[in-house]
Parts: sequence; C-alpha cells; structure tokens
Amino acid sequence: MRISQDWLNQYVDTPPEEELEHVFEMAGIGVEERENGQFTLEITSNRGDWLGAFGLAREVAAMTGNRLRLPVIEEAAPVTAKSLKVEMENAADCTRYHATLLENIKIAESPQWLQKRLIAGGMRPQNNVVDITNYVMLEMGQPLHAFDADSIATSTGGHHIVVRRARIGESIITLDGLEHQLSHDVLCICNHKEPVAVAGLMGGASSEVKDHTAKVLLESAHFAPAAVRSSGRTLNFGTEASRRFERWVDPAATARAAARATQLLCELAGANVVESIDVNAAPWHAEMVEIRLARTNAMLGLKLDLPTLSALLERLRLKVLLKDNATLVVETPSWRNDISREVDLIEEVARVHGYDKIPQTLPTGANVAAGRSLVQRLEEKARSLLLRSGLQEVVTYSLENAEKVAKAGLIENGLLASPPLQLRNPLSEDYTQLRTSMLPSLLGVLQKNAGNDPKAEAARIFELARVYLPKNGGLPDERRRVGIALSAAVPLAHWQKGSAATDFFSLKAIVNNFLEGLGAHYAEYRTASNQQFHPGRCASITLEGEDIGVLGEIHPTIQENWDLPQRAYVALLDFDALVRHLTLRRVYQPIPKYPPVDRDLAILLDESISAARVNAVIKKAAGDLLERLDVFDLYTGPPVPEGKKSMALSLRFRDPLRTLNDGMVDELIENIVGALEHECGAQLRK
Amino acid sequence: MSSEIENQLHELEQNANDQIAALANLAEWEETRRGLLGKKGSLTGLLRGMGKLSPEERPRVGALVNQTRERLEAALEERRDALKRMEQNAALASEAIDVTLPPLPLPRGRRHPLMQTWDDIVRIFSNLGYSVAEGPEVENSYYNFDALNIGPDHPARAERDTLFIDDDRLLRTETSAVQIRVMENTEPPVKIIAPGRVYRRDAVDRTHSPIFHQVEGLLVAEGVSFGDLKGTLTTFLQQLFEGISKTGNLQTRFRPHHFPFTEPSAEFDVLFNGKWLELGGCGMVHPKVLENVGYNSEKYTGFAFGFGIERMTMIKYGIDDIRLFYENDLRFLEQF
Repeated sequence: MRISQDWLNQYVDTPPEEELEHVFEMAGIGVEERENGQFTLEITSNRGDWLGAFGLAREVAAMTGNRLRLPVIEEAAPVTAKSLKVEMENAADCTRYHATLLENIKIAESPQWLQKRLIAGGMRPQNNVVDITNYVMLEMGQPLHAFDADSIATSTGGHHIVVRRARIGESIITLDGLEHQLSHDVLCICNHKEPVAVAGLMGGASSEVKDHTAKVLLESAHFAPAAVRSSGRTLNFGTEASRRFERWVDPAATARAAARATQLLCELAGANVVESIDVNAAPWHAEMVEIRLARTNAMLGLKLDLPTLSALLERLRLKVLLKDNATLVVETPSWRNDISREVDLIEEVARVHGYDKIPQTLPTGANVAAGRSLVQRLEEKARSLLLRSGLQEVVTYSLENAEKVAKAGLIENGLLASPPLQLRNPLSEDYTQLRTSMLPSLLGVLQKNAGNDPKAEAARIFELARVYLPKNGGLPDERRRVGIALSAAVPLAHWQKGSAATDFFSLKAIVNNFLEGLGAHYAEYRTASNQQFHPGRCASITLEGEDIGVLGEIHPTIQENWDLPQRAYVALLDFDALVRHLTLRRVYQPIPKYPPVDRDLAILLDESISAARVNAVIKKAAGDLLERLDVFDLYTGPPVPEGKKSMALSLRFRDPLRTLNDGMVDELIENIVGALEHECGAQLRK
Repeated sequence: MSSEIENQLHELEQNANDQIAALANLAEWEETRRGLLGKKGSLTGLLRGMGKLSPEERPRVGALVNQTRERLEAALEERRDALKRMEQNAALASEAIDVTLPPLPLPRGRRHPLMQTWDDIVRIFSNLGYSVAEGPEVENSYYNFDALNIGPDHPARAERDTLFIDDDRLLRTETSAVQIRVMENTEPPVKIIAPGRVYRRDAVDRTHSPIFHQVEGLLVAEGVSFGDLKGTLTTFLQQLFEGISKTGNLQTRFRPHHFPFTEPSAEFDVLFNGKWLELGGCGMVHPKVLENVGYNSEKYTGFAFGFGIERMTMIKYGIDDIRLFYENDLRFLEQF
C-alpha cells in the first residue's frame, strides 16, 4: 500500500514524516519505504481496512489521539427502472452487490489532481472512469469495477448480472489479454450467458470500458475473502482488488463507495444515473465481545483502570458499553473482521496503549528439566570429541537429488541408503528429495574445497545431522548420523618435516578416539565390502553385535565422480544406534601399585589373518593379566616368504594384587605362543 | 714449630684460593679438589705433619686445619656451582633456535558459525530455565498448520511457499510445530525452546535458502504476561549480542504484527548501528492454540517466539550472503 502524507493530512493531522513512520510501525503497519512524505506500507493479512486512505487515517487518529476528519458520504437512494437485474447464486460467496447504471459518459483523461493521487498510490492512470474506480478504492478501500454496459445487455434491452461459480468448460480473457480456463473454484460476474469478469480479481476484455463507451455499469460489492482467495489460487494471480477482498472489505460501506464513485463520475465524466440496485443478501451484523479488565491487565502486565481501558478502545472508534464494574462489551465494527474474542480486544488495548509502554518483566518459576536432554548432551559430547580431533564442522543441505545419490554410488543398503522421500513440488531440480545418507553431502563439501584450491591442505570435516528414512506411510524415521570425511591432500611442504600423510588409519584413529571418548571401548572393526568404498579398505563397526557404522577409503570410481584429486576417507555412524549403547556411568579404577612385566613377540603368519584375530586369540590365551597389547612392527617382503607377514607385538602384563614373577609370565607367553600356532598357524620368529 | 705449620697452612690456603679462582671447567675442578682435599692432597699431607707437634699444640693447630679445610670446601663448592652454570649456559647457547619460525599447523577443530550461535542460544535459554525440545522436520499438516490456527485458506499453505511430500506430509515451515507436540504430551507449565531446521519453497539467493534454522520458544504457565515476553527476549538478545552493541546496552523494540498462532502478536527488532533490524516474531499464545491441545486457556497464558539462527549469525559477524553457511568453503569456516 502506497500513500502520501499529504493525503492523510486531509483527514487527520499527522506528525513530521519520521515520527509518522514510528506511528505506523507502532500500530503494526510496516514501513517498507519512506521518501519525501511518500510511504510504502506493508499491510498484514488481518487488516483489509488499512488498504485505504480513510482506514489509515482512522488508525493514525487512534494512535496519536488526533481528531479524525473523514468526509461524510451518504448512501444514495436506489433508482429503480426495472431494466437492471442482479442474481446471486450463493450469498456465502457474495453477500452484497450494488450496481449503478450510468449513461452519457464521456471518456477522457482524468484531471491532474486525480492522476497524481493514483501515481502516488502506485497505480497507472488510464481514463476518467477506470481512474475514478481506482481512486475510490485507494480512498475507501472498496474495489470497484466499471463494465461497458453493452457486455451485460440482454436481447430485450435490459441489463443482467449473475454472480456465480464458473462452470467446467467456461473460459475468460481478462483485461491483461490472458485467457484462463475456469472451474467451479472461480467466482465470476456473468451476463445472461457467460463470464464477463473474475469477481474481485479482474474484469474481462469483452466487458472493458472502451474509448467510445457511453453507458457503464458500476459494481460495488462485498465478495467473501475465501471465494476471492480460491479464485486467485486457482488462476494463480492477484490484483490490488483481490488483495483487499481477500482480507476484508467493509460490507457496510458498499453503497457509500458506490455513491462516492457515482458522484465523481457525474462530476468528471458527465455521467448521469439511469438506475441503481443494492442487493444485500446477507446483511452484516455486529457482534458483541466482552473484555475483562483483570484479564487484560494480567495478560499484558499492565495496571489499567476501567475508564482508561474504555478510552483506549474508543480511540479506535469502537462502540464500548459497560457491562459491570470489571467488564466492557464492545460492538465489532463493520470494517474489521479480525475481532471475535476477548484476546483480539486485548491486542487492540496493547496497540493503542503502546507496546513500548508495557514494562519488561521476567517470568518466575523453576524448571527441573531445564537445559539439554540426555541425548542432546551426548550429541554435544560427540561434537566436542570430533572438534578435539581437529575436524571442521560443516552444515549441509538435507535435500539433494537422485543424481548426487547415484554419483555417490548409493544403492539400497541398510545403513547407507533407502529409497528417499520425494518432494511433490520441488522448486529446484537440485533439491528434490530428502537424504538417506550423509555420504553425498560430505563428498560435496570435499569437492567444493578441492575445487577452490587443488593445493589446499587436507580437508578434515564432520557433520552430525539427520537423515530421513521412509517408513510405510506416516512420518519418516529421522535418524541422527555422524559423517566424517578426510581428504588426502598434498602433504604440506614445511621446513619441519613430519606431517603425517592421511590414510585409512588417520580416519580410524579419529573414529576410535570418538567411540572411546563416548565410553564405547568395545567397538569391533571387521573387514567389510560396500560399493562406495575401496574393496580392500573398508571396515564395518559393531558395538555389542549391532552394526553402528562403516569407514573406509572412497572407491576410486566415486572419487572420480566427484572430481576429487586426492583419495578420500569417510566414516558414517548411526548416532541414534550408538547412543543406545552408551551410558554416563564411569567407575574409577585404582592406579596400579605393582610393576608391569613387558614382553615382545615376533610372529610369522598368513597375510590373510587379521590383527583383530591375533588380538582375540592372544587375549583369550593370556587371560586377565594381559594389560596392553600393541602391534609395534609389521613387515612383508623378503626374507619373509611370499603370502606371509611378520608381526611384532608388545605385551604388558600386570597383576593388580602382587608383583608378577618371570616364571608366571613365561608360562603365559608359552600359552599365547601355543594358541597362536594352533589357531592362527603362526610361527614364532626367534 | 707450630708457627711453621701455621705459615704453611696460610700459604697453602692462599695458593688454593688462587687455583680455585682460575678453574675453567668441572674436570679441572675435580682434579684440584683431589689435589687439595683428597687422601693424597696437600692439606691432608699437612695434617700428617701434626704428629711432630706437642700434645698441647695439637688441638689448636688441628682446629686451624679444620677451619681451613671448611673454608676451602666452601670455596670449591661455590666455584663448582659457578662452573656448572657456565657449562649449562654454553650448552644452552648452542641450542638456540629461531623462535620466529612458523610451526607445523595443528588441525584445529572449529564449530560451524551457525552451530556456534545455536550453542549460544541454547546456553542462554538453558540458564533462563528452558528445556531444549525437538520435533520432526517432516511434519503432518495438522502440526504445521491446523493446530497453530493456520486455516485451510491461509496463503502459507500454498504449494508456492511450502514443500510437500503429499497432502498430509510436508517439510515443516517453522519450528512452531514442536510447540504443539510438546504441549500434547506435557501438562503446564511448559518452558521450552526448540532449535532446528525448517524449509521453505524459496530459490537460493543472498538472503534466501530453502533450508535454514530457527528457534522456537514457548512458555505456558499461570500468569505469564506480555511484559514477561518483552523482558525475556530483551535479556536473551542482550546476552547473545554481548559486546556487539557499541553502547553496551542493546536496545530492543516490539512492534505489533499479525500471526495466526499468537494474539497479541509482535515483531521484535534490535537497534544496530543506528538502524532497527527485524529479528523475529513473537506474541502471547493464541487461546485457540492452547485449546487445540486441551489446555484451559482461562487458567493458563503463555508466550511464544521464533527467529532465525542464520539472521542472528549474519548480524553478529556482518555476513552478507546466507549461501556461505551451506557452501562450507573452508576459507569461510576457518574464520570462526
């Protein structure tokens, strides 16, 4: 809504421009732009009455307490001549229709003052008839429409208007030249056979006022907001008129607006009235709404008295009656459809009193459950552990498209992917479905950064966010996932040698640290095979027998799909599954009092036997006294025979209750060597 | 006889002191110590000459010898400490490095700037006694619209603005839906914030993103007022933007507005570099919303508020393009 301060000044004294802006803002009328007394206002969807100069002046008067000087416009008495007939199919769509037939019109340019007002209001002047209808709309908020009366003429010389829903198969070419197929969802103004306008939205080209038009039918109507909204949604456009009807147009002012426009048409276009008719099918009735003083004060945090409360409401030109010494009864005004309950009046009191004059207080009362929930605290701990491993947190879109999923090599596969939920109305082809895996998101970030600078240091990133796994019908299962990705970038050239290269074990160290930091000390890694990963460099992670994730080196094909110049390593963990294995319980272990005994073992075994297997065999054979086990050397190649590897292990034994002697440890070592020979086919290297 | 020994003793001490003062390193020091005080040392030799003295003189001369010995030992000790210091200083001097050389960089884990703001918000509201609630991002129309008093005709429900899965399922357009889910499962008082992702059918540009983050706040109890809402948000904003405002006392403004789920409704602004910046929406929970979840709207009142985490973060750091948050360019992320 655009309006000039000059225009408002005609009806109410306004403060200087800058203060007027504040008055608008504090009334709830957003000021989008203000320049040289010209305002562009943002009108909320509940206030149709602010879409006219009269309504805005009324609000400014209420907010400033200044006197309102609106011109008095009286309804004109109907002039009957029986040529004019208005039919309404459904009073719920159109409660009131006022039609005036005017003749002897001389189409011309409007006078300058009128053109100026229209331009200031953001409208283009056309001719005196159209301009007058637009002017009255800007003034009173009532959209009007002028038909060339020939378009609604009947064969018998009468004029016939039918307000009805369009029938299937009907169409209309609107004033802007566009053809629209109509349906029952569109409310139309029709002549005796076909639509000549979309009610409250736009006239039809066939009924347009032309340069030679001499006879005009002036429409002033109250169309139901829902009907106009339905038409606009169906035809997918809106106009200055529909913006007003969709909100609310004063149903008590229909005939007054017609009188105002008629007066101007007579003055400026030489018209005279042939006939007029006012069909008020569902007359508007005021409702009585109560407002309690105590409730108002409690809800706002104010200490108003009853006379003040009454005075505040009266400033809005509401009719206020006293019900008892604690309650008022307010008659709802016809120009507002947003007041139906006490709370609506309480808001009015707050607005007129001034939101800025309501004192700031703080609520009282304790909340025993304040702060984060247990899972949220674990989430924070998880994030903190990953940050401490030097990973950068990223935030990626949870929407993606099928192409990205395919590029990441995702197939339906339990933890990694399921058929995604598709959007019915995506805006962009990049975002058509909800992700079921973090993998494409993570690869996207690596790609983006590799593209920025091929010589950049290794990217080390993580995200803890949701994936959306569809369930039959219903809402999807939204699971928290942790995704970690490392790129093996060019090692940094540095005077200090020793920046380690990124490999599978860099990632495993992070994952291990993460799981142990959360208290999951018993994670098991097994060789796994997943299409997205290098076939020889991928592990599944299980906790107490449950699969909770996967980590590995990205398959070279997928690396290529994402234009990654270097190898990449990715871990995907199901945080919700992981959380079920975690506990906050930690029990202190005494610091050992007795010294340990350290032994080294070097064994020769088949390359296919995993470290995990060796570990398990040793732990079983060694029993509780084995405190630590490390692999300190691994070697293949001559002199180690083909197909074999040499593995060197360091073992630390300790008895918490006494000092171990060599004899006891010798015995354990003998057991271990025996078990390794027997179960892993290992040979002791001497 | 005794005076001869005394003379010798005197001479020896003088020579020894000269010798000690001239010592250049710990090896020489050891040799000198042995030469003076060792079994075959000169002072020990002198002591052997005591046999020639008369029994009356022996105690006096003996005492003199012992005093000399003590003095020499002390002098040696002092010299040894000095020599040690000298040797250490020399060794340290040889180990000097150019401390201005750059070290190998340690990978520093950084939180995403949005998540830093998220954390700040959660911290401040936790301290004010709010629980942190969550809800689904894929929502039923009922929770996203109907229960929030957003009627079937409301423009927000249009295909143009909301991303739908089907008629009943959509990507939530605000975190307000969490309000309803929490109230359905809790008796008042309810005091929550709900941070999370929300979705709009917007094209990506400098100020729009189809996915962004919001925080919803809700307090429903007996006697909650609009004044409480103003006080709570002002306290929160002053803490969130601590140190950002030049005057030190961040100014807030509450302007009337219209939302279907609050009445009275407001938008709240902060004064930043002389301009009012709109931050979010708030208001007293509409009695219809309370009634929708079966609360007694006569007994309980409440307030609700919502704002974007992106907007807060952009204001805090002067970021002018929302796309930077999701592009995850490390050159951007590493600035926080």
